[in-house]
Amino acid sequence: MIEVRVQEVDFSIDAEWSKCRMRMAGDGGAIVAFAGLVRDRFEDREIQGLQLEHYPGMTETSMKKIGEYAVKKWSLLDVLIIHRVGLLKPSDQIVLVMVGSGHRPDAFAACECIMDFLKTEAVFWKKEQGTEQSRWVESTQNDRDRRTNWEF
Amino acid sequence: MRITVRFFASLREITAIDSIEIDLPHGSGSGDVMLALRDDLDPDALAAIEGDQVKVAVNQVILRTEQNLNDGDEVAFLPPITGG
Repeated sequence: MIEVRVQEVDFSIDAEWSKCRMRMAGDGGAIVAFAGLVRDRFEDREIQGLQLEHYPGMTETSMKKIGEYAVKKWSLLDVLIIHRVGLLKPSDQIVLVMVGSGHRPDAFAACECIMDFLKTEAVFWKKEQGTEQSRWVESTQNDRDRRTNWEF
Repeated sequence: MRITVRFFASLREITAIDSIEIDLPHGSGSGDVMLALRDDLDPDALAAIEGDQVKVAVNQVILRTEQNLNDGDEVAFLPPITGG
């Protein structure tokens, strides 16, 4: 019911959507999916690419914990988190969170919560490659505030 | 005992080390890893891995306090993480 994947290759939302429907069979009443994309700029800097790396094993564990947190908090039937690593270009897909539930409120809330947790709890590192310089990205105060707001 | 030490992301860049194996006396703790690396790293790299925001993991579990190490343990220095 909770599946996490770290991969270099792109993912297909259509394919994952179909699999999510199949897994929920007749119990599912809602699927909410979020896909994060690479932007081509940050503030006033042009971004040419984003290098993502992870710690194999620890990263998957951190993603699974986030999924488990959501499953405890809401009534969910299916949770899928896919996160890409390697060198990505602007407009590339980075992350997919797909949540299936009997009803939409839980699916909407869980999907948003999982994304907020990924920003601060998932073991990834991202390096923006700009035209003049590169920089390692860190979670923002807004990211940390959003994550804290989910605690109960 | 033999310990594997790993650095990730910005810490790998500044130390120029991805992974290194070090020998420590039995009974050593996680804090002894830093002492063992002092001769191998320049001051900037040492300051970076001693940074407030750096977390240390032993066998992929982040340490809350000093911990004794065992032969074959993997110690990782992790700069601030962010996914999504």
